[in-house]
Amino acid sequence: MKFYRDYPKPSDRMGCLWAVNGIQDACILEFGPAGTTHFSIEGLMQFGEDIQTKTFTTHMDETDVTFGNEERLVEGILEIDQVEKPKVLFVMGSSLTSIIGMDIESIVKSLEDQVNCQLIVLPNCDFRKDFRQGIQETLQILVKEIVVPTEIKRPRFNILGLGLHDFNHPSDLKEIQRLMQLHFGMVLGTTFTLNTSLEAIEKAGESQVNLVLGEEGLLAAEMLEKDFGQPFVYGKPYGVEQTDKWLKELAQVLGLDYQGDKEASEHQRIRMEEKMLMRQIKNLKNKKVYLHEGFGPLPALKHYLDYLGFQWAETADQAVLRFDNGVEARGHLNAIQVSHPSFNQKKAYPYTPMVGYRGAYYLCQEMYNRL
Amino acid sequence: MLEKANRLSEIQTDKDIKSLSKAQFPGPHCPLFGAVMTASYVEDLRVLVIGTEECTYYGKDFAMMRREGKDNVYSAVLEQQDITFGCEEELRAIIRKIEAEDHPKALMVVTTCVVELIGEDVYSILHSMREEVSMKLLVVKTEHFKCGSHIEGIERSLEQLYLLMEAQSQKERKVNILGFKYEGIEETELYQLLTQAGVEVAMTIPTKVSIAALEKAPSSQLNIVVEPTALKLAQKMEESFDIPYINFCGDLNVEKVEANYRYLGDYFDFPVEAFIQAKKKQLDKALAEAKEKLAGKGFIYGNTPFDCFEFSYFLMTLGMEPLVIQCRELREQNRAAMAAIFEQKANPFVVRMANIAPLRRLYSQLKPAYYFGHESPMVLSEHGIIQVVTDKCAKKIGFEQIGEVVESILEEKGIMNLMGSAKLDQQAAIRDKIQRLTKMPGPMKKLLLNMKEIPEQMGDAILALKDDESIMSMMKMHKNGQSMGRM
Repeated sequence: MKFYRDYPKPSDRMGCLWAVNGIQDACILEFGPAGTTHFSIEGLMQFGEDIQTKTFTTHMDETDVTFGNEERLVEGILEIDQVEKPKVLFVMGSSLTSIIGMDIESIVKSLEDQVNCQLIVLPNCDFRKDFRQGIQETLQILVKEIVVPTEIKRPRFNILGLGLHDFNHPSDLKEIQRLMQLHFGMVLGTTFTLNTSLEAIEKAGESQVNLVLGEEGLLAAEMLEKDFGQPFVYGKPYGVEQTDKWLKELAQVLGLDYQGDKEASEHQRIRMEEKMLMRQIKNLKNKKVYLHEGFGPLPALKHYLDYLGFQWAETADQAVLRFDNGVEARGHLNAIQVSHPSFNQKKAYPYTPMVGYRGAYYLCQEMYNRL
Repeated sequence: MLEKANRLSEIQTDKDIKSLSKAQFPGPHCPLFGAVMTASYVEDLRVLVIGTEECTYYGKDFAMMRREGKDNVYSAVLEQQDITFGCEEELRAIIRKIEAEDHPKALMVVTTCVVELIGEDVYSILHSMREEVSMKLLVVKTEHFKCGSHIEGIERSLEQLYLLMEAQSQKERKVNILGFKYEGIEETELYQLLTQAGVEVAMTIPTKVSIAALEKAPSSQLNIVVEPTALKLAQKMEESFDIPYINFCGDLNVEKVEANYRYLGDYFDFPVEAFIQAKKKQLDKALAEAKEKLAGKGFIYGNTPFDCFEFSYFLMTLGMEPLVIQCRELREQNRAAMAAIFEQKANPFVVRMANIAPLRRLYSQLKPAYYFGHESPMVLSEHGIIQVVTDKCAKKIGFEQIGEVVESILEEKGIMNLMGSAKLDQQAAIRDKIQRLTKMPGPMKKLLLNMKEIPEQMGDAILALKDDESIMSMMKMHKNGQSMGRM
């Protein structure tokens, strides 16, 4: 049994749900007690996205649990197919169905001929994996079950490993799109999965390259490379130097001629801001910074803070500056929020990136203001 | 769809209440929600939730939001081996760790579905530790597959609070109010009447209480229960500390309120007749007005702070006609109100609560005039249904509660009334704008202009529209459930 004073780490099941909820026209049916569905729907509001995905629950009572009754699941699937007419229905078990050993795969398979929609079973709860593995497995399922093989290639890119749970996803997504358009004239094919659609995922194979911003997208990117010949670049570009390298690597992968930043004056200005901040950090008596990894590790951000000259604090109290979740950031003037959970702060404004050149510009400003 | 639903006359047990669809959205809250909510009222009570990562995460998150970052919730997450071999030793170790490191006065251990499913007897484990640790140990089971909703979580948590109490010598003219969950007990008519009569309200449980305060709760002479989930706590206090209680729960029954006040008057020996007559006279006027306006109007019961059948019966006494009653779960105490409805020759459909999606498909078929409870106001307005939300009525007790319900109906207080108040000039500007919008449908204009207060957020969206712009984009946003609120 794991003991937590702080938030427990979200589970694989939660990761699966977060990943599917990034597809606006998806439909989900959970086979389990209704309470977790209700909690999960309200929990998603915290991520600040306008979720369109329809999530239903069968609920389960004592008789269902005692006798392994599958009736609610069968009737639920048939009803959703008839009433909602989804293109795809994602079916998911619960901790209870997992413990009592219900074979959801077989139940769903037996219904395939009776429904018009495509039925996809999401991974079973195994009490070992965390949300990243849940997302990872779901993205692989999407590649396997939804992406349509194609010979067509368009000047597009896909993004993997940036999801609803990533605190700054609206702004980071915009900055990546801006960089890709500016430097390579490429537009977004689809994300896995942020505000996307089943149709966009079907056409993911038409993109020329995949950008993997988080480790949970890596295995799906490898599948896309193997099945559709799409190369990928892995990494989240924090800071000017990392963004330079990231763009060069991308150019190399795409076989394009890359001439460096096309907005040289802005690049120079951001570089100068970064240098000034580094000088300021060098002169600090206390250079310690604290990074609360909350939902999981943030290796690229850690690397950037190392590069800037910070040292690592073991506890938040020792730090001159802290990168934290919304709960802690709310009560500390020296904190910058980099992860969920959050209070109900509005986060609709999508122009405060933390990645890319403008992300470096914004982060340097925020750090400077807190030092 | 309604052919699957049972009418009131066919409801014998809880299983007879059918859901309108097999796939529910959003489904009811679970007892864990109720337990964490209740525990968070007691400022220094620590809570240990045992369950999956998912359940413990949501429990923590809810408490964190409720206590604005200062929650008292620990989590014990079950792993594969705990599910196979049990978790007794590890649970004991965690409890010892909490005691040794944090020295809390009390710990409420909340078990969830998986703990109950694997049959771990947490109650016995904790019972055997009562001599070993100095903190008091409370246990609340919250297995959702065995009960209907969060209400049982609230009830079980409140009941356990008696374990924090200690025998006291009772002081005369001192009472506790049980089950009042809001700020402002001082503003209620019950509090004011008692205070004027020299009766001290020593404590309101669970609002703003500490463990030290709860220890002294048995020093009161009488418990006044104003909400049904606190009845079991009152019964435990009667058994353990010999404190009688009076059931003052709001069931919108004027005669019962009158009898309750007479009981209090007799018990503490103070006059109540003039008070009762003045309140009744005031109420009679409002009730007469309501009867005139509401006679023959059909309604759907969604959710209110009141019992679904008692509330529906009250509306029938105003001349209204129940079409559908959404019920969370059937309980024995519902029988009297169910019989009373049936005696009035009404036989509405009774369906399971918290399943809005299929219900929406029935609005055009049933054509109710009113919807009582949380639902998107834009969806209701499309069907010309008036929304009434009575959440704020739970902050009143006795006659004033009935008066507040009637006022909410007469003034058509919808979900927007739960939100903050806007400035009058801003309201005037929004109303002016609504009248200038050329593409807004007439019925919607009428509905918005009839609102006592148009909420700020909606007002901002309306003001941002050009006079000839369609309101459909704004409606879409609301349809997606953003205004649905908690069920």
